[in-house]
Amino acid sequence: MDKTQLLWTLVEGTSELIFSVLKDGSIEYVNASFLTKLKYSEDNYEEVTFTDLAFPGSLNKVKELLKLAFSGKDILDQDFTLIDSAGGIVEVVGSLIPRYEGGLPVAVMGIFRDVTDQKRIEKEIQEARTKAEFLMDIMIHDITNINQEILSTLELVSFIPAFPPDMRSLLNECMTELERSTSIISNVRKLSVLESESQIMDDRDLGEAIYRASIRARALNPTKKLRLVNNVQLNTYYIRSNTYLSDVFYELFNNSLKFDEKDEVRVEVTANPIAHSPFLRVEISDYGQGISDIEKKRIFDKEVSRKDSVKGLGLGLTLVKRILESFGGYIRVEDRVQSDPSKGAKFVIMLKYSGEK
Amino acid sequence: MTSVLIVDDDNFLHTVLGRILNIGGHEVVAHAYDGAEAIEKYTQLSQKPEIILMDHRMPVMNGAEATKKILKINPKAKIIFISADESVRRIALTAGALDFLTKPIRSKYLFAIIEKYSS
Repeated sequence: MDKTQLLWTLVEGTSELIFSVLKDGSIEYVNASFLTKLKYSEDNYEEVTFTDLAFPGSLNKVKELLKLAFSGKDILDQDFTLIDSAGGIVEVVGSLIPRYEGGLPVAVMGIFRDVTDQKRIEKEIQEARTKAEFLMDIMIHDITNINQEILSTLELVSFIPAFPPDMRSLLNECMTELERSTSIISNVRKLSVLESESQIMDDRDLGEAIYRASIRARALNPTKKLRLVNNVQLNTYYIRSNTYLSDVFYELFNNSLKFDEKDEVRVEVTANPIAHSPFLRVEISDYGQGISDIEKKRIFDKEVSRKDSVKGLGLGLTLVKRILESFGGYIRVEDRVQSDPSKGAKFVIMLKYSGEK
Repeated sequence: MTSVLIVDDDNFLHTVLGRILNIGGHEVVAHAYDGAEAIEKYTQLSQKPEIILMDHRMPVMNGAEATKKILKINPKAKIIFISADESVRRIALTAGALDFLTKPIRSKYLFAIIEKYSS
């Protein structure tokens, strides 16, 4: 097969839409795929100009792109909408390249791909996502409000002096569980936001984030005492991060309080810059029951954690990992005492920091 | 004792928060169920409340818009947000709220925050 025949076979055999348009808009050539997708035949395609094929919403864009191509510019990776002879929509993506004769552009060649199905699927996915977010948003808002009402009502009951003392601990536990349920709802919301929305990044004070996290963790675990040994002072390290920086420490403190059976729970936080790198190494160590080597491998993975029920260490740590990833951070878990998981866990976080006082 | 205006579209929440605030020694001087009503109530009150507890998502007008408008009337108004939606924290603080509390909140933290901002 000679080269011309080979090229001709390729052009006519491809699923791409290939065409050539003259300066007056008339169509000089179309390949077989073009005719099939636009529902024209060899007999009638010359009756229309290229701009006749443009969907009204794309007409100005098509005209502008053709004008640019006829001025000698290569137009790459552009999308617009065409209409087939039966009035159907055909979404295309591709390039327009000028063809020269005697040093002047005399025609524009187009090589486009039909992305109608892809666009339809993308639209359906977007609509489904929007709908899911809307429903989740309503659910989160309304359930949290209901939880506030129940919590406040239980508190009112607990204020009654004659309330049986033996029932009081049950009431307190009930209030704590209610707060936990809200915390789970809140984490689902945060995961959704992290996966679907771009985040506003600011330089945030690590010391303040840790302080706020400790306040929240103490509030959620009123029966435990959090003894926080922390070497991170306020206004010392600034982390380029989103609004969820504090949640990282809150989730870790909360886990330590939840899984350490002692009434007083010791947690140590240390931060040290890594020399010649933009990273800060932050270690959060506790003296709880620790994390086995098998669990270490999967505690940041929500799907596995849910399936295999890794002691409830699911959504919180998944959220921690997602939050850190959203601003270039990293987390891993080790034993506080090397090779002895029973002595407690040590979470090692790498954070890009933007300043040190 | 601190005078409080509660702004929330949830009727039952007004009842329980009102009772809790009373137990804490505070006085609820008015109730509003949306942002527009909050502005109206705030304007009508001859003795302005020391603290406004403001929800965000409400019909007619949201909490952030109401906050901006109340602060135009009185730049010294003390508005504390109590919202189910943590993601509106920045919006609330940008609008001029002094603080942002995420629901559900226990009474002792509510009392502490009221005490912190009371004159």
